[in-house]
Amino acid sequence: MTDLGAVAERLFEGVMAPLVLGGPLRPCHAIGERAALSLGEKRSSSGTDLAARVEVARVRAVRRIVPIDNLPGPSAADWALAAALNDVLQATNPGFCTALRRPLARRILRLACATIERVPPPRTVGEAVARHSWLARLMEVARTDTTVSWWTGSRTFFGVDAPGRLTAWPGLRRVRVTRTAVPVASLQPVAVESAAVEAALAGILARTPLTDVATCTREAPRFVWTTWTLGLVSSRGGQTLALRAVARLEPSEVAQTLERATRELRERGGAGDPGGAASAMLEEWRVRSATRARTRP
Amino acid sequence: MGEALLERIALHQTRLNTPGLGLDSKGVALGAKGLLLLPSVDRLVALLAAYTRERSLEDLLPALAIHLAHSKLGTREVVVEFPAESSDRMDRMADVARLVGGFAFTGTSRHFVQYRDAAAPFGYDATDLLSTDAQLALYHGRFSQTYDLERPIDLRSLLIRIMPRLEPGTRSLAGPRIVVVEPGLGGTLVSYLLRSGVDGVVCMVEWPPANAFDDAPVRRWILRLPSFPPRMGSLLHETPGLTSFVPTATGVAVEAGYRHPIELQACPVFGGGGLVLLRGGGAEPWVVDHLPMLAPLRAFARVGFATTPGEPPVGASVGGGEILRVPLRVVASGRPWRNVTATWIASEQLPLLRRLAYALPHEIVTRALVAITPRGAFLRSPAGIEGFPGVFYVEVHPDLFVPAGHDVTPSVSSEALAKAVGAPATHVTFIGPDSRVVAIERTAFAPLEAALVEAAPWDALVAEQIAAALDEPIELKVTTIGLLPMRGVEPIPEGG
Repeated sequence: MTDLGAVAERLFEGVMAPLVLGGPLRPCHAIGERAALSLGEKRSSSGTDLAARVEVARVRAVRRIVPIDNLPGPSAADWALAAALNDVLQATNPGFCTALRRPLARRILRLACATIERVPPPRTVGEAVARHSWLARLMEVARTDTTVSWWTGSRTFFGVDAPGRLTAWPGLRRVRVTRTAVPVASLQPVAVESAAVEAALAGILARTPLTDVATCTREAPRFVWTTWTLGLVSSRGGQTLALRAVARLEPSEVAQTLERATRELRERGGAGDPGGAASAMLEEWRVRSATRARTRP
Repeated sequence: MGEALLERIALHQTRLNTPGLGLDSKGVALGAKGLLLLPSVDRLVALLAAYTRERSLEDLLPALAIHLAHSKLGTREVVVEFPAESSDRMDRMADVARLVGGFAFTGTSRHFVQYRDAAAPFGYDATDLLSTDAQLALYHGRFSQTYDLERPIDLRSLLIRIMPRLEPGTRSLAGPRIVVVEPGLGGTLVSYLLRSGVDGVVCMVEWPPANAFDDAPVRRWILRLPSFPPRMGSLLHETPGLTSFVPTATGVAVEAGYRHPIELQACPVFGGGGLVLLRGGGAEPWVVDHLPMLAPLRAFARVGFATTPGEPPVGASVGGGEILRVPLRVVASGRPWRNVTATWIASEQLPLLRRLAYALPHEIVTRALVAITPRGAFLRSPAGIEGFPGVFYVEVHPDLFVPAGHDVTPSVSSEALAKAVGAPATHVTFIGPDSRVVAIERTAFAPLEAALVEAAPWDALVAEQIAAALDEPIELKVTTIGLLPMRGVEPIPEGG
């Protein structure tokens, strides 16, 4: 029997807190669909110093777009999404890149996607803000790959520091250390298809529509209008929050992304944009960016 | 017209045929009266105009009589009778009458003979008197004629009926003015004159309705101004509803831009508490039989009531200089605003300042100093204070402020004002619009940016950590997957 309390504690310390506070994010042991969906039952993260710091940081983060002073603690959906993210990150662990373990990574990723599928979208703008406070920096997660080269060879370390013996006597051995930050959507090598990782990340973003819009200029996964993002911006308050969130991005990139996504939405037809929310968002963004450009000294 | 019945009087002649005719000390034939025969009324006007140019009618008026007379031939002429008194007066009257085409006679009751001329230095005498019942028998060298008096001509009425001539130059004359103002403009003009420091008196005059269709009297303001600034000339002379008159004599004035043909100052027929306003352009004159009581313009000044009826201290000893001192007053001024570097925000307006704080530019916030007092907040900013609400102040002297758009009276220099206020050098002094003086210690002014920001509601150490954390990158660390990476990884059971 899995000790959900211990799992939640490890998940909070290893993934949820770093996702808000920054610093090293250490995914824990794969959690699985069943445990992930059970983590949030009567769960509370408060009472510890780390939890207090996380709460304050969440408020500080969302106050960039909305003046609120209190945020609710993590909900069951937040726990489930965090657990799914943990499993997605775990599935990209290079340790699975062996012939025998590769299927395990695929299974972990498939269960993570199943978990994501079971998470409902936020019902209110307040819930969207609360969920955004946890996952706002999702697309900032990057793995630092270190390549150490010396006079007779080289070696790459994925997400771990190079051992000291390889960097010893750097002058004599002509050691060169190259560190590269690799975004979470572009991790290589991985035991699963990169497209599957992108799809899982897109699924998580779809469950937090404010984060999805706020990171719309990302390279991967590409931003597309979903039912949930359209639902957010179709409300007056949601559109305002979305506009404030994208105001922190490069205006030209935002314009290009929103125009492309809106054009694709029209081309898709069908469910499309029945209320014109995407078009209204785009028009409002154009007006605001033009006004800001005129008033900028 | 009968034939001439006159003969020249010789030197030392003592007997005269004409009754009432005698010789004065110079030997000139002279009756008790003088008489001028003028062919028409306009000649009469010309005579009056010419005579009054240098002489006053004052000595003639008591016995002056002007009549319209007609002869047996049916001609109507004007007869002017006056006391002859002396040959000097008669000479002057005869000269003027000759100038205007009239004839001069002298006599006592009914028979008047031609007054002397160059041909008869001692005058004339009638050889044969006309036997007639006519009221006047005039004997002239060229005619003898009897006249009956038809009706008298009142000099005052004549002067009122004469239309003034156009003469625009009288508008630019300095001096007193009488201004008749239509009712709708009266209050406004009085206020304007008060503000401009023009002194004068004012009354309201009523005339009967102009016709039977009007049932209300016609009312107009009449202002008497001893003088007025030249800049007001256009206002008083050209504003519709305002009619300006130049007083020409006691009780009479002529509209500015016109001049009466007769020197009215030489005709003391007006007065008696009334006022005659002669209008140009053919308009009927305004005649006020009895002028109402005139009130000074100052009576219409806005009045204020002291909140506490303070009695001046009785028996307090004062120095010589104290006698001259007057309270400081702050009055509105039209001067442009310069050096506006302070503002006073009343306590009830402080919420507005708090709301504006979010919109104020960085430069304004960093440069402004604020002092919070029980009467509100005082802000100073050497770069200008226009971004703030409240009552703006101008720095007229180092650390001495007066409200923008206002002047301090008596109009003294800023140095004298600072000395009079007497605030210590360590204080910043504000003279309010209500003339109250407030002095604030200079050290009470603190940077506005320090006063605006509230204290953070959480621990400073934590806040620093959080602030740093929000910018710290998230680094994905690869952990070991363990020997049993799938332990506990289970899907939701079917139907779960």
